[in-house]
Amino acid sequence: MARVPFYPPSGVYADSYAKDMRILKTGTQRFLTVAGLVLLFALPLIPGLNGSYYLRLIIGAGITVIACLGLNILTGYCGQLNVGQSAFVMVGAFASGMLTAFHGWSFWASVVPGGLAAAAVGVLFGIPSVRLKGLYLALTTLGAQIILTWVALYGITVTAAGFSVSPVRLGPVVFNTPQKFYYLAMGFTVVMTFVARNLMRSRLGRAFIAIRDNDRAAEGMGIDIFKYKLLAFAICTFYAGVAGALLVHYMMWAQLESFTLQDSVWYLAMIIVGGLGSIEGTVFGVLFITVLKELVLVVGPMAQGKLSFLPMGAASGLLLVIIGSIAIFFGVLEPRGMAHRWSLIKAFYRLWPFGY
Amino acid sequence: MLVISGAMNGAIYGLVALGFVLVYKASAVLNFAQGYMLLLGAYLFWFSRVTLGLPLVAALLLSVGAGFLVGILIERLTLRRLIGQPLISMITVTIFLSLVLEGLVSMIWGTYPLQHVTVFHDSTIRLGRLVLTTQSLLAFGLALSVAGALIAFFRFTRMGLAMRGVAEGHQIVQSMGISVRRILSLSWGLAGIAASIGGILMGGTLGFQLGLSQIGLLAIPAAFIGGLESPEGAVLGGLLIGLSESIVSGYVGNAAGVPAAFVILIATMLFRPYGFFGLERIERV
Amino acid sequence: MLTLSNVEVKYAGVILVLRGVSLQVPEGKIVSLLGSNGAGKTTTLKAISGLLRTELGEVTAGAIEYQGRRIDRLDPEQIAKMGIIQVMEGRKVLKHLTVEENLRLGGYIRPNGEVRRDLERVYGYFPRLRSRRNAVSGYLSGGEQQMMLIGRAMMARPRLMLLDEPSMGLAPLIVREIYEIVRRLSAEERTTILLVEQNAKAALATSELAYVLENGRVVLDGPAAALADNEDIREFYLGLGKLGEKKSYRAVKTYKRRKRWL
Repeated sequence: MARVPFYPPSGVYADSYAKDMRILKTGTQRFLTVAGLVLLFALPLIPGLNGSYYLRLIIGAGITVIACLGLNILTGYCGQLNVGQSAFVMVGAFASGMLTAFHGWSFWASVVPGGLAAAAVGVLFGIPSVRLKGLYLALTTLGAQIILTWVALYGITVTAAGFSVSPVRLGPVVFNTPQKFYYLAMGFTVVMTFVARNLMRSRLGRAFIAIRDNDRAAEGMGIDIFKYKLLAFAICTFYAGVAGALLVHYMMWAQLESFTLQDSVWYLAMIIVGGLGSIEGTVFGVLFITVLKELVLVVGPMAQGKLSFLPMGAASGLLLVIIGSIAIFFGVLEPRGMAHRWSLIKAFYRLWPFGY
Repeated sequence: MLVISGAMNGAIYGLVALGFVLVYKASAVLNFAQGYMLLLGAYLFWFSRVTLGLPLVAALLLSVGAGFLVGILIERLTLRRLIGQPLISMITVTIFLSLVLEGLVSMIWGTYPLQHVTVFHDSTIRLGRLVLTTQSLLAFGLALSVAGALIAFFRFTRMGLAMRGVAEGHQIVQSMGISVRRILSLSWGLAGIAASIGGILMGGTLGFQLGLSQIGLLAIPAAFIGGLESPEGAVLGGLLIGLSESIVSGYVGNAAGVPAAFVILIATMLFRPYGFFGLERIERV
Repeated sequence: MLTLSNVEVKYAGVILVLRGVSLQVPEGKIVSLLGSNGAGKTTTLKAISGLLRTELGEVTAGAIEYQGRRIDRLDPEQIAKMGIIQVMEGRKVLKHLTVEENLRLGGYIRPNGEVRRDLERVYGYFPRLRSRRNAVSGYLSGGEQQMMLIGRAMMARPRLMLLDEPSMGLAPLIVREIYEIVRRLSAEERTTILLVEQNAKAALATSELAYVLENGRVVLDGPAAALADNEDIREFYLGLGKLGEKKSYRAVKTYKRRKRWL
């Protein structure tokens, strides 16, 4: 999966390794990033966008971005297909939720243990990667989804029933409305995104990419593939766990139904449409699919009202058909997702008229 | 008792697993959407029986024929493009395909379970202490015979040989005048048939509802345990999974059989990565 | 029988491999195509048999005509049915199938009743295969596999057989056997044969006409005997120095003659 190389506009060059490895290379990029961040955090202050509906949407997207970042690290950068990400989100959610609800820990204290719990389980299911590859490993993750869901449903009483979780507190502030939680969610999302981007441009990221592209060659270069694969699993599921912890503290309720196989499939669709192996792509993909989902959910019932011969549930069916088809479309025609298209557009713009 | 019902389910899992193997052998793609092809077949049967009011045999033929066509259609539209692509693309496209199929089914028939219809007559037979329904007996028999027919087809006919040839290498057989495209279509079509029959049979027992696609999920371990290249292995794997599911669920309760199947799968893969009957990798130095 | 006119072949739209190749294969003869690695010999064969498509290759200019019909746009299956069968390089057997199954598949395009007779014919040419008929073909020795591949091609009763490097990786005695078979095929079955080889000596000894391919172009052609006597061929392909002596290594290091056809 070759990236489109970065064609710097004139005047932009690097005279040290550190400068060459910068995430934001041009002045425009730096400006846009800062402006974007300011806009992001100022969003609730804009009248019209202050309503719960939009904020809920963005918070949901933000949490999903965290889960998908993890997935992209494991599947996009390291090449190990993971069909069970939502189960790991669940582990983090329940772990963190139980610490908060039953042992009185604060959210801030339970986030990391939640992530670590998910990571521990993730590494457990990653162990078969020592012998299994590709398709077979994907099955293990499918097994993880099924086994973990079953354990949560039948093995532990509290998780089966669902339990309430007290909201996040920071000093005198209680984050129990979308308006307030927004800042918390966006903060986490932004931080986790930068951490992921940073990790992937480091030696670790390069090792992951090497394993994805040709693991035997990587081993020949001295990369301990088993250790790195496990590390990839750990990072991926840690991110999942953090997303889960955020989720339950946002909804203030922890229940099984939020974590299904279908959710895992949605996550995959998001990173494929957005772009495997690309942090920006993850964000693109999540946003795109979230918006699409909303559109269909809004348009669907209206259409159903008019075309009343359609049976119940047709709207959700339509959603699946549309998103599934788009994902297939991307999977078949542009497997590197929207991020690749975007870099092609940028390259074209920078290189014009020397296209080739 | 548990053993019997397990075996019966197992035969159906085996049949669906056979569908997996057919597709994998010919096109090196694992069809995650098999469970949903099953669903479609089952619903089409319900449609022809209930909505159209057709007699049993006609309904069966119609839905099975439709299953064949759906298989071919899927192959043409999506899989053709994927032939050179990396594994991830192929797997994820079939996964998304399952979303689309589920969506289609929901759109046409809604998300609630459909009115229950039995496939065969509703009667029971006593054998000593065991009570069996004719439904399950006939289902078992039908599943095994269809599986057997497909296996025989694979081994003994020219077309079956061609399918095995295609599995070895697309380019190699092209030079022998075999149309790889036609063979691929055929294998997907056959997989569609296997899935439809499986779906219809299960629908009669479990009811025609969206949950039927779960069977596809269980057929995956069956196919892998048996070895993805072996049709016989798939059937045996199916029986194994059916039996273990039934026994584990019976003793531990709470449908523990499903995760148990995956535990068995993971354990098997660790010790025998290619399944029990998978073809050895022949490598020449 | 077969004519290539200024054929140009590109892979993935950008990699130009054949740059205007023209050659003719008269009916009933054995023609060889020589050249070193990367010259484009295999690509030429695949262009003829239609197998380029799976490798993202295509004939972008020129024409390939077989018995008056243009075949460069046809599917490989159709070309095979017209009687052109290729034996690919690399000994690509259907590894997990037995010898007999491989052969049967070779006869796929023939009517069902003829298959048994054809099998007997092939076993007649290759008695060793008969004794190994139920062996899994992946485990055969290299020579046996190559014989099986030629046999597999024969099952389709080709009018034109394209042989790609049949001698690669085989012991000299086996190579001699294989070329014997090639001669028999041409003489007894009247099959036209287009042979691609790096082993120039064996190829020139067996064929009647020869073409030399370099960098995607034909640089020399003519009757095989004439080519074998050609000084350039002797120096660059047969490894012989002046007047048939072996070249001294010292001479190679200090003086390198330019090829006269450049």
